Amino acid sequence: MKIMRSGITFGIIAGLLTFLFGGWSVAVIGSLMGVGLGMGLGSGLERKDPFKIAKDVAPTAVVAGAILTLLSLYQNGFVQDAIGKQPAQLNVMIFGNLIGFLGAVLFTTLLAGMHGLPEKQEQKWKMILLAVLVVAFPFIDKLTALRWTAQIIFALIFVILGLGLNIVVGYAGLLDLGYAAFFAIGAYTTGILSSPQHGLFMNFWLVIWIAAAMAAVWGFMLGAPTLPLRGDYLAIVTLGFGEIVPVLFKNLIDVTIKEPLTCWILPGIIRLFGGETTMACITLLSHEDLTAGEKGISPIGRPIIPIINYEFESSNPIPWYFLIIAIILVSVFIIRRLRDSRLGRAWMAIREDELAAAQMGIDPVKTKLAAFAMGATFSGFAGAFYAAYIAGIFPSVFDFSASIIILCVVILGGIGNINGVIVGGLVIMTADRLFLPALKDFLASLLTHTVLPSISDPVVQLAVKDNANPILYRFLLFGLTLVIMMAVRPEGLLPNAQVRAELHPEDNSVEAATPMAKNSSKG
Amino acid sequence: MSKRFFAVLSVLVIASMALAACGGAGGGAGATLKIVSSLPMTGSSLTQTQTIVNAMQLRLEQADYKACGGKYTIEYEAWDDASAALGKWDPAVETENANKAAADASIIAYLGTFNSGAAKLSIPILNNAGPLTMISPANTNPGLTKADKDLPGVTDSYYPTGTRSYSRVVAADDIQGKVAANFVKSLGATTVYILDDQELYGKGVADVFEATAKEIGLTVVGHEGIDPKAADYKALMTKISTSNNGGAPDAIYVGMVVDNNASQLLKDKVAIMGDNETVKYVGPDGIQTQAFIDGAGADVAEGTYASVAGLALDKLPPAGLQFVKDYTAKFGALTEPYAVYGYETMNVALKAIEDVCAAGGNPTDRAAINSAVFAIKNFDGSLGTWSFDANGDTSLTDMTFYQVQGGAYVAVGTFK
Amino acid sequence: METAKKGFNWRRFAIASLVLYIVFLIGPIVGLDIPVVAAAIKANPLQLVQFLIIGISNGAIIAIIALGYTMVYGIIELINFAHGDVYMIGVFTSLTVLSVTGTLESKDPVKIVLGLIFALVVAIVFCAVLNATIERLAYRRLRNAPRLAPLISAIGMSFIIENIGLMWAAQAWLVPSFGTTGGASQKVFPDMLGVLFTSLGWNINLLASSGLALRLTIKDVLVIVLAVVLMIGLYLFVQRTRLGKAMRATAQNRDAAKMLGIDIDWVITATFLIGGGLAGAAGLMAGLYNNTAWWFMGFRAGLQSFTAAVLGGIGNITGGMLGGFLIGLLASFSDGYLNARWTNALVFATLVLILLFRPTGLLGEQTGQKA
Repeated sequence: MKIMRSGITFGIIAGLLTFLFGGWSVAVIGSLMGVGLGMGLGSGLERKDPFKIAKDVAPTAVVAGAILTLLSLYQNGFVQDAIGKQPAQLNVMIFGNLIGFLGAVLFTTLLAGMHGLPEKQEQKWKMILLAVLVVAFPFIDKLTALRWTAQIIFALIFVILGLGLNIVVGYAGLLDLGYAAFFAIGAYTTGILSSPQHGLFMNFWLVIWIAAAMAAVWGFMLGAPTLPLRGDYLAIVTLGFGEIVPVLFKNLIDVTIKEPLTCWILPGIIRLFGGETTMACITLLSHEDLTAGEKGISPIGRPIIPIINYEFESSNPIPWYFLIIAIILVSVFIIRRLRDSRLGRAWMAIREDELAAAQMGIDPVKTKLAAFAMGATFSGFAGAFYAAYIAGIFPSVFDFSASIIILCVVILGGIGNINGVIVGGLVIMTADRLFLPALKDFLASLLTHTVLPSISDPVVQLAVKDNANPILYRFLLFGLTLVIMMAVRPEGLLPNAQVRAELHPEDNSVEAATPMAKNSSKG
Repeated sequence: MSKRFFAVLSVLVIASMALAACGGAGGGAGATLKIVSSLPMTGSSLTQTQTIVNAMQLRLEQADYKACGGKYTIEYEAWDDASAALGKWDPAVETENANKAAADASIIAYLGTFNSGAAKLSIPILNNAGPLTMISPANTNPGLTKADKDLPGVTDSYYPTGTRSYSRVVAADDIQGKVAANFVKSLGATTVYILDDQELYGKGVADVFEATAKEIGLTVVGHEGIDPKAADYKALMTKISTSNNGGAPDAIYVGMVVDNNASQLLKDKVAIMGDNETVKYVGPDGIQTQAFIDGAGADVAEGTYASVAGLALDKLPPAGLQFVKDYTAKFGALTEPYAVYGYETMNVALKAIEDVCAAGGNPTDRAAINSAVFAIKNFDGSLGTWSFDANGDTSLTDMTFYQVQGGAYVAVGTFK
Repeated sequence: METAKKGFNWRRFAIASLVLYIVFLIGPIVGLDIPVVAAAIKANPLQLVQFLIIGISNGAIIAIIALGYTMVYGIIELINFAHGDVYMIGVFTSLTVLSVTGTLESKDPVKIVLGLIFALVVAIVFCAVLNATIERLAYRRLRNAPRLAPLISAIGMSFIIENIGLMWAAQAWLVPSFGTTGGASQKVFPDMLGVLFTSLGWNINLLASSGLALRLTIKDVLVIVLAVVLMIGLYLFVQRTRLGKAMRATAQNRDAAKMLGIDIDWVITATFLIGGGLAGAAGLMAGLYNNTAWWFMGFRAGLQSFTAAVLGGIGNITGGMLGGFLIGLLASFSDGYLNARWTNALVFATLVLILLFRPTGLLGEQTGQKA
């Protein structure tokens, strides 16, 4: 049976995940698996009575939960020992697996059952459940001592960045390969305005707006000259900006500005005619360290909630989590309104066919500039948050690979789709920050306790040890994501209907809906 | 299936969570003390950091992972503060490591970091957590412990509780740069050109070198930052080759770490200005690693000097010599200079635990451990007999110079 | 052009003066302090020649890579991001071949020459096949997709190849000279040409006997000659041979070329083969010239080469070569007279300015695109 098969697959994958994380992770993984499985199963079924659906999927849910629990117990009992870690504590073993099993069954049946409700209600209830999970997550994480919240916060920073880039790439169709530059501008604005670097300690709640505005201004200024360029040249120019901006922040550490007229042009002319001069040289800046260069700016001021006078601290991620959730909610709200506004439709018209859009009375220059500025604004928010959260900024964080990761987020999730970008950001960043390091640790300890001692040749031993490091293949995975997505599913995991139509011109039924799809292939 | 089914299931989940939470509070803390290290275990630094971790493990094995006469078991974890994204230490990872340590009550000492920039981020976090004592085997930036006159108040801002909680067993760059300048003068050089990689460590040591060089009468021909990702430095080296009134300077001092293209810089220097006898090439401990010689080639690196705080491995006090012997027996030949610092760091941590126990205190109390670390005076360790000052700096100021001879670093002399 | 006829154009003069003033004002930030630079040139004019030599030699390597970019762009209007990384693979291939054949340890001139020629052939073939494979796997099926799709695919390919280089550098069992210091660090590419010439008893500096304080090494001459020969060969190939004509036809109008019976797929594959082969040759040359193998070197070289291709006029073979030399010179003068840490930013600034003010490049572009 088909649903049983997906249940077994989910159970095995989730069970193997517990191998990596161990401890309480089974509880969280089980519940998350339930949510995923329930949504997946539900959408594949006919709409009928909710309880009936729940009953139908219940065996699958139990099987999936059981597989997960068995694998997890195996992990607790044997794997933990094999990789040389201390065995799990008894209460973790009992309650963790119990919650994992129950959570898997509960959420699978619940979410699948929701599909039986009328569509509007289904949406509403799913949103409510999602909201509950989002709110509960950091507390459960704290209880279970998994410490995933910090990584999720990082993923959410990239979600904001992805949302911003989505405006430029997804809505307006302008490929920006230097988006991390605006992230850097946002972060450095925050760093400079609220750190001992220049003795400025401005309030975070003010700085975050300045950072966003600053990023928007630079988005406008860097965007303006690039507008006449066609698609791929635009990509290269933005890439150039993306390379120059971190170099600027890195190198503006010894800035001297002398007014040239008084300093050497006039004296030079006077000397040329044999005169003598002791003209005063006007120096505007003398050996000023603006950005602290590679040394980085730290510490950076943290947000303080005014009335209760609570200062955010690095060791407690929960307030940060809710702050970034709030920023995302505001961003999604604004971006939705923008997308459905006159400007949003103009962006999409430009993306489809610039010439035709111009004929219809859309000003391409203003529209594109607005896309650059709006896109940059959100990265300004993300930059300000990042700077305050890490409490230190270093130019090497904002290099080309950061731009590419943000692009991956947008492309994997689905160009032009807000939900897609959120999913893409969470998938890519949790894979990168949570899954790969855990896999690396797991493999390393597994190898040192099993395979490596049996290899006598030290060269082979080193070769095996070095190559069994999944982090080594990180760029490969990002590259494969891009190449495979472009080849197989260029519209992303959760596609935007319009983009999908554009990317599958051979699909007649869709093409009929958007007759301009074919023309747009020539930018 | 009914509403009741969901209700029962939800209640069950919540009930088991509640039970688990109660159970969790009861269990856990026992007679285990945890020590962690946070070092970049990726990239070229790995050559150095792996030996540090090995040495720390060696020290614990010698103590049989026990402290206070077997009352406490010691656990050790080697954390990585690098990410593949950056290929070196990553601010986000170091912050997370510090937070993770702060949150885990069984951790009583945090050994690290390798990079001074990383220490800037973790010191305040750990300072707020107890304070959890942090002992570095390798940070050399003076500003971490001593106030910088250019940035008043910054050093104090790393310690929000007002109590010092960061110490290091290695001498800071204000000593390294100073000794290096004197060393260059003793090589017979009168003119020197300074290059640095613009990082906290590289630029810091290069700046101290420049200031001292000027004081002791060396002519500093120029001081420049380089682009660590350039394909070659031939034009730069050509410029330097005529910078000293048309000729080459007597010596070049490079403040940098090996990751920042140090080998390429040396290759182009040798290509343009000849071997390292004609124009001396001197660097700090960031290039005193086999990776530097591997990257440049043994012929090219021949004659290069590098300084490292402390004594040469064969000049160490008896305890240190014993360490080198034990290390070699377990992990093979030891060439990296930082291993003994890793060993000493763990030594200090264990000593603090024993001191707390001996005084009748509780070694799970982070604050007690921290004060015990700062109370260490005339400690007879593997580096010699030394003390921590009130800032957490070591009283040892020896600086040993190494020269590449036949493809490996060989100690040529120790200075103060 | 009313004002131009009246003689002096005050408005243009004012704008030019303002731009110059701003350059002089903020120039010192990037080391462009005119009096300082002028004094440096005056103090040692011969050094200017030296920087020229260094710039042209470095530029030659950039130019060979740029030819690959320019050919591919000319035909399918795709910035083949992976091209710079194919060049990096060329460096690693030749280093591995030299190591496996035992050339690295050899002091026998005959053996070195044979080993180098063998390494050159292997690097060219390997990179050519690699580049064509990339086209087959990642670009071919996207040929009719919107323009963003193949470009993103190319970036993905670039990351994949970079990672392959990173993994390659960790295989010390394959190339013992990599040492045990992990994959990410730079590897030494031994100076085989230096060994060769010393064993023949030649002085590597051709100008040593002239008494001038200048260095023009055999290596410099070799790279420059190789680049010029490759360029002329490529030019003749494209102008004279059947395949070359088919390439030009495809570049101008793919559909029309197809109608005339040209096998478009083969023409494009051939273009990628030639581009990859050039990158392989450049890889060996760069390895011998700069003596470094590093997984990251392809990214930087690729961007500089692309800048060179755009500077000369993309699709234009002579332009690509000219652009390469100009970028090499710019980098060398910036290193020499300004400040080394700004060089990369200046190269990108050049790229941006060229695209903004003269997107067709110095010699004009030659592609089918009627933008």
